[in-house]
Amino acid sequence: MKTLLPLLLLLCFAGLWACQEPVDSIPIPYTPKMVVESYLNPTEATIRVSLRTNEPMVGSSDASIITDATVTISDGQQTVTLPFHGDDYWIGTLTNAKIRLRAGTTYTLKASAPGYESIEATCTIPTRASNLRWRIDGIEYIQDNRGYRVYNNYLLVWGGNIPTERQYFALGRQWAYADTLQTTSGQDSVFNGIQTVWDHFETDDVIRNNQLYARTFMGRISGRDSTIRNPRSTDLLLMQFDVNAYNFLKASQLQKQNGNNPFAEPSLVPSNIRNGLGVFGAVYQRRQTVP
Amino acid sequence: MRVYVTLGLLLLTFFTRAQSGRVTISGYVRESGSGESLPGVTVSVPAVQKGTTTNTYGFYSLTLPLSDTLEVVVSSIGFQSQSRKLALTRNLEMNWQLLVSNAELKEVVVSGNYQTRESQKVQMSTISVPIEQMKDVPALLGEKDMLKVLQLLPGVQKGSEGNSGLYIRGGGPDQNLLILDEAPVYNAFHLFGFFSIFNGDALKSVELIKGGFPARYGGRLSSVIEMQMKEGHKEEFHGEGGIGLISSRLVLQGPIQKNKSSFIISGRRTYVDILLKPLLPAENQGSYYFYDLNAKLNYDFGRKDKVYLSGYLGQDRFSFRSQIRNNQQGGGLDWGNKTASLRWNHLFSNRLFANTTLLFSHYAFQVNAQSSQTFNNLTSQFNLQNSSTIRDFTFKTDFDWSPIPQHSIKTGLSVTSHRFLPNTITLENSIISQNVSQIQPLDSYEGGIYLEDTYHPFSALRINAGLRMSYFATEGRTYNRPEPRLALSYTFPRHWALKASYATMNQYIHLLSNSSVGLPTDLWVPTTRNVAPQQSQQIALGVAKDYSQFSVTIEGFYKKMDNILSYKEGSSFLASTGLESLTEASDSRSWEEQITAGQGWSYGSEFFVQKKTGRLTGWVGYTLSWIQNQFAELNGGKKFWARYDRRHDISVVGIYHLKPTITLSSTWVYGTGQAISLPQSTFEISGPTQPGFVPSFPTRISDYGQRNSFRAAPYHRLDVGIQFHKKKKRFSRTWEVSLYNAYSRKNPFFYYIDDSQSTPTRNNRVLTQVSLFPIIPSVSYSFKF
Repeated sequence: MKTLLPLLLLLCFAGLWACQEPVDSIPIPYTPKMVVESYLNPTEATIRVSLRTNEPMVGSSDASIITDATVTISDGQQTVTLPFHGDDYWIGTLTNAKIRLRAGTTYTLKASAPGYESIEATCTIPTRASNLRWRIDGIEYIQDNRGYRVYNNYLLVWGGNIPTERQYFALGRQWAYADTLQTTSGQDSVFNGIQTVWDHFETDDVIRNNQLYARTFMGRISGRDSTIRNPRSTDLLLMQFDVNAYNFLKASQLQKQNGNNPFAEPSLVPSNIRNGLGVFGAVYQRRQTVP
Repeated sequence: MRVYVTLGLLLLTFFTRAQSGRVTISGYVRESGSGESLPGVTVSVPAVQKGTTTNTYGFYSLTLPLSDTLEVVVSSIGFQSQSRKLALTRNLEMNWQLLVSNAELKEVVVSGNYQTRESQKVQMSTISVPIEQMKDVPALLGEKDMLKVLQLLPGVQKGSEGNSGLYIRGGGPDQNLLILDEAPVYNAFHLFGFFSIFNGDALKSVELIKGGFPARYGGRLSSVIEMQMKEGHKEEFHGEGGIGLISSRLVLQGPIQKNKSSFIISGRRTYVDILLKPLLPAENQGSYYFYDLNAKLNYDFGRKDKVYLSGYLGQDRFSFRSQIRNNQQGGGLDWGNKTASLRWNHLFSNRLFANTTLLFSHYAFQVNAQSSQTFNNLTSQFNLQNSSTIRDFTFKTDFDWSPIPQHSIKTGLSVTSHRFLPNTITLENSIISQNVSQIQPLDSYEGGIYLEDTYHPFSALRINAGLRMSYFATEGRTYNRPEPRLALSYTFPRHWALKASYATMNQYIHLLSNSSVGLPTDLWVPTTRNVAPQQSQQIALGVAKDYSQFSVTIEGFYKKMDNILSYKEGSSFLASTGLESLTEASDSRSWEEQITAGQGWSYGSEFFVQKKTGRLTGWVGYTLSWIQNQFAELNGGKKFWARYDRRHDISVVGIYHLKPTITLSSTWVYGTGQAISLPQSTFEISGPTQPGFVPSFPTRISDYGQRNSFRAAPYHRLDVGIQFHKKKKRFSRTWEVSLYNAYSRKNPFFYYIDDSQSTPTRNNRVLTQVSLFPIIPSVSYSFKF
């Protein structure tokens, strides 16, 4: 931000005469579309499909949940209609269903609802990558004017064979935090939350040929030989996707990350939903809690 | 090699034999009084329908059949024509001094010369606007700007409001070769592109070539803008200058040794920083200014040799500083160009002219930020510098040879050594004991060798055919690309001409830009082992018709561009996520990972009516065009409209010399709105969920639809101006009053979605347009002595 500041100030200088006003003479095209989110995971016992609607960018809008849709999923031989579960998603329990989720199989999702174009999407579940593991790779101390921050470095190690088809991964971290904020009454208020950071979206060849690290915060110390105060644990996240989910989530993260950067190119989030938005993809999730 | 030598000797023998029974008249054409050489002047012999034009240095050579007496006519727009009857029995050296035509009324009578007509030029897609006419066009804050006048020509589109960037026939601003006294200029803008760096008072000529490029030009895809500085008055000391609302300028020129050598020096500086300084609080100071300096010396060693030394230095400086208790912050942004050229003209014979040039060009920008904080008696300091630099050294030599009347040959070569420092970061951070310094120069060499011939097989047909071989070496890899060029013109009776051209161009250096504002942070980068050169092929077809007072040209063009570069979606030169990202981005190769290559198509037609003579001068231009791009990694691989795609672009320029003391001027422009990417809708996602865990991807997504699918509001504006001239005893002065955006049209500068009225339970977003300039009156004073 320190680097951006001179540029922004310079822009302000140029805008001495600038005026701004709402525009209603140029419509932004908007078509109500179903937004699908469904990630097939062969290791889970359910298929879950979330259906929402997109909201117009301009103007006012209310809730965006679709509740009156018909949602089916097919593996090419059998078709299952998923019942509405409540909240905002449809769910099918695989133990009773006619279809099973298997790697290498292509599934088709269809949905229709009054007021929307019917949507359709396909997804092929990839083969699960094996022999991927995190290896601790040393502790790092970073000094600041309040002492030292201590980090653990974890290296992702690829121990398996080279896959015959390209594989897609995301590497991230998730941790719980507590923060304090002074309220207007002068009292400290404590906030608890969960923070997730995705460090890498990469393909298998990049993981095999490069050393991808995740750095986890362990705590703060006053000197190198001190005890860590308020130690924190972190979950290392590793997700494997099919190409559709990978492209969708990678672009989504990039858009979120660039949200406040006026110098960034727009991030267009791709979709494999015909006549709709969102993603119908596949995922394998791994999680490892580290101190 | 043996084949080339044999071919060369054969050509030489052919031309030598063909010269028997012919004579050559040659010499220089200069402005009477100042001795300023005049480029582009027509020298013709109507009786035999032969003619030529003076080159950049005012030299001409015309080979004609032996004759007892023939009338030779010399003419140029803005000057009184001259003619002499000459006995053409032997080679003649004939210099001409042209008088400026009726300077007060600027009325020009062009007579007796056919080559000033558009229908008689072999070169199409080329427009020259007289400098004096450019100075009459009303301008923002009274700051005369040559590049903004070029924006008013057909086929040339501007960027956003106020910007001087040129988008020519679908090309980006980096695809224009801007040459000042043969030295390339990389960033031609001050103050985000609101003003160009060229001081009109110091310029002698400006020519824009949009297509059908002669083989002597290379290195850019879309245009050549060639500017020549004045040489300086050879007989008397003169000066001119002006005082405007935001800047002042001064030009001084005169002889060093009368009729032998002269100088010209010009300077311009803004003074907004000085005016605002007392108004700013002491704890928050900020300043911005720009300046530019031009200087030129020339020495005439005699009939055969002349030497020119010229230079340009320009800089923009912005800085800020604040101090609140123990917290000091400061920073700035500097950018600027330096160019120098040393040129030697040598006349080997009356048919062979040579110019040899040594060039230096340097462009740099630097962002810096400093802070100093004291906390618990511990002071931490932070210092960041981020810079980008290009440095060029060039040697080039060019030959003009007129062996026989039907042929005019140009040949030459150039070699440039480029050094790029695309992204240099120096970081000192005492907070986390971090010191980073990345300086990774990229050295590359660019060369070109060309041969072109303007051939007149008979008086109605003119052909300019040429071949340029371009060369680029970088990181152990070389690129050799042939660039064929062809231009044809066939003249029909009643001053009609049909013209056609074809040109292949290659571009080895590229501008990475993710802002249409034309920020100086845009990165110039070279072709590398991984980044291929840009290439274009352009064909154009047109007709030209001359009337007694004006000319009309209609041209259609189609241009295909390959390997054009763009930032990937979501990429940015400056990361917003803080220091960590910035230092990661300091990897000298990071820019290569952020870009992607694709292709582009541009096609359309241009209509141009120009009137250069009489009391009323000006032009009407209309462009109908389509520009599309396609990149495998952008917009899902689908075609999309380029940001500067404009379906319709109209400009009307009128200058009326009401009386010798009053000049009225006006311009009106209209352009289809820019194609930009704006979110069309929005939705929430949660990402893959895991039972018992918090979702790891919850976020709100903006759906942009197709890239650049939103059309901004059309741009249109009317500017008017009035000049009052008066001759005083020792000098003449001009007061100019002008209105920029006379009907105060709120043209879009950019758009954003205002979300400030939304509540946690209900969204209420508003599309908001930011406009820069309402009606802006200005007054300026200029003088000349």
